Amino acid sequence: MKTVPPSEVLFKTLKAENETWLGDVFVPPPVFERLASDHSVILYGEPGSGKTAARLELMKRSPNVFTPLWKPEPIMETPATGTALAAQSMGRVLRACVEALIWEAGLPKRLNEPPGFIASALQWFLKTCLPYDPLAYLQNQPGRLDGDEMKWYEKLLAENQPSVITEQTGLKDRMQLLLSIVRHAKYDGLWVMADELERWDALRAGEQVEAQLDAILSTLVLLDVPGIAFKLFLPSSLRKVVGKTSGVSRRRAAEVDLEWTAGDLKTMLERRASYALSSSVTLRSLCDENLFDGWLREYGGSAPRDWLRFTAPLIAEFQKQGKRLSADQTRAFILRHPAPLRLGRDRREVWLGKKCIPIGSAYEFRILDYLASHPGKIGSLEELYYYAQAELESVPDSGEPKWVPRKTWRAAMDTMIWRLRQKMEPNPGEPLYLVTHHGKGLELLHVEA
Amino acid sequence: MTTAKRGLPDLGFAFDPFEHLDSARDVHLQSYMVIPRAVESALAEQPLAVFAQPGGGKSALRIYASNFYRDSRGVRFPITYVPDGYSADPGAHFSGIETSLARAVLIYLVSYPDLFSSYDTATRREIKRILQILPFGLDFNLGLMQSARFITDLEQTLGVSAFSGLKEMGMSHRDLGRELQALKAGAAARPSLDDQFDLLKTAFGAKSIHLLVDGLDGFMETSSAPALLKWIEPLFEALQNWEAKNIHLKVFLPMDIADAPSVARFGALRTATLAWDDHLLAEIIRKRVFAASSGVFDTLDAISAPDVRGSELTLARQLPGDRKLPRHIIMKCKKIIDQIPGQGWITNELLNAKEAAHDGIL
Repeated sequence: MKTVPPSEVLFKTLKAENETWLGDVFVPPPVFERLASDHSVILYGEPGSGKTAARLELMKRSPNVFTPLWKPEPIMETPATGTALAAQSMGRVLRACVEALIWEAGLPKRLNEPPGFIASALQWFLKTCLPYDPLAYLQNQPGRLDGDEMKWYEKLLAENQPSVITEQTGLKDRMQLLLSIVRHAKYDGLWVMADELERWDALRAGEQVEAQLDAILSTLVLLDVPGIAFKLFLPSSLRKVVGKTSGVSRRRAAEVDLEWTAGDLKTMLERRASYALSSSVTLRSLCDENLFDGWLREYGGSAPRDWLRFTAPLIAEFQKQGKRLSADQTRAFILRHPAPLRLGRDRREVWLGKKCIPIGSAYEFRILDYLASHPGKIGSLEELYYYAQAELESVPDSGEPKWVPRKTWRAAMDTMIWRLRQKMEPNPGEPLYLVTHHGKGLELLHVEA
Repeated sequence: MTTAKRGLPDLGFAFDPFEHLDSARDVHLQSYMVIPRAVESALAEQPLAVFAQPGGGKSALRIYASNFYRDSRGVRFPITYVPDGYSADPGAHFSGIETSLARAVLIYLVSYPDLFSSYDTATRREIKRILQILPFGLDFNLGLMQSARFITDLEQTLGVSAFSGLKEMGMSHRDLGRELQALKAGAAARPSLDDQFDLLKTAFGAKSIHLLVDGLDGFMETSSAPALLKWIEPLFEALQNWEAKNIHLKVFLPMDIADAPSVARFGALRTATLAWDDHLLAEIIRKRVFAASSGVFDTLDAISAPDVRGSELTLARQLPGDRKLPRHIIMKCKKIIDQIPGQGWITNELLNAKEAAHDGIL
């Protein structure tokens, strides 16, 4: 019997690898069919757009295809260039494939008594692609293979097999040989999955990872092996590198974008809500649909992460109340759970959830910056004035050269705060984010941690 | 309104005629290949450089030519050489050709498994010496030959297609494997490449050999025209010698080196350009539709609204000048076929949808 996780977990554990319930709540993105074709495909998406979920579901729905996961990492030794870098990178890919064959494919059962040529090929991959002695490698991970499986590998590695690959053996032939093993293991084909590249984004190491993708996708022979396809799940920022490769320009690999319509996202949250509540529910049956849906569309962006995150407390509220939230209750709920605020300092932007609000004025932005940097603090107008306009960290004493009488700046500060609220508050008359504590100053609320 | 897409059988198709952009994966290529007149010489007994833009059908033509020659049962013997990696060593191409030749020899023997036993011992030994440079070694390939049920298993591993229509491995293949295994290759050195070509003529009855070379520009190091020209020079240098022996080099190259003086320098080498016009592109669609409908109809008009006429030419004419290529017309058709709604057909609206809507598809 399946155990339904609490709604908080179901809506906020948005790391697909940890979502055991993903298959029950998955909504295929519009490009899913193309992802599942036999061709190499590059899927671009922003963080939180559901790339990993799509990958996991693709693997689950393709049980007859061997789908090893390659998580590209910087190369520690001196990286090569050109085809040599492609070869170096393919070494990493082959290692990922061999590890997946060992830990996920259940080779002993699939191959049983392999013919000699397959045994010799497999032995070569085990001896060459694993990081150290294959037997020690297998023994160092106790419990992952049962006794019979361990014996199978021991026997395979003990056999005196001829080496089937030489230094002259090219990249394509190595992939072809791996495919022979995979086919003997009763799979129809091999899809190399690449994912989890976000962690290298914007880091220096990321350039090395990009160079590896560039090298592989610029070596056409690797993309021309029938039966083998690459499925790359990449952050959109990598398009600038990958999109220029000959593999893409010559259509050996198709580029697709992971985009969601508001309708898809609503279906996704309704499916999760139904799963959490163990009954079929729609947004309409939870709250005032127009209000909540409109709010999600304005602040939730076009990726699942924020839509689901913003809906989690609604489910809890519904469960607590035991009935649908009326329009007034939905409105009040939204006011109690506004979209979190984040500052985009490079471009002087305020982000409310996924809604971007440009704050053109440097002075105005410095007010927000000061308050966001001091969470929980009520900033007095003096502090804010001297920080924003005079760039002072503290208020000068009267008589100090930079001190200015209050009456000269008070009206200007009031205008700036009024302007800020006009720009960023959903209802400037009843501020939710930049709130006044009478007689004390201002506080910035709902700042994302 | 029904929005469900029409399935291929509903449209009268046995398979998706616009599925493959990658000709290496297209099993139906032979049945619907369109060859512009300018490159018909690719099938003739002469050396030729075929130039085309990416997506212009170079690889498709190379595969078609290979299949065409193969149908001669080896009288016009095709050897396909697509480099597996880049090497600055000038001899690398010749080593690669030797490996390709070994693949072709094995698949030829597998296609006609009784042939081997009819050769004298010296010839058999020479064949075995050629086969010893097969990828993964001869033992691996013989093991595969003896355990495989279907010839496709060997075709997939070797990356070459069989010469005959034989589908299943049988007793004669096992005998061939045993015979090759048991045969002593002798101490003699492996024959030179020229001797290997000669053997194809004496043992297999090849009257001419067609060396199909493709994928030379598929590496980072050869993406620029000067680098590519430098890399292929050793092959061009060998051209005259080969030509005298009825060994014809057919090399498939990107358009941007078509006018390079170093290509023109090799007088024996004819050149041809794969160029496409609206009528040829329309013909691509018609032939694919004809093959996929098992010969029942040869136009998209047959699955279109009554007021749609000349749909193929309409689609071809919509392509801008720089996209008048097989790849783009196939992509366009694929998109249209995928968008036909359930119980529906191709409408003028669908046919004339903006080009942007067809971008980015496989």
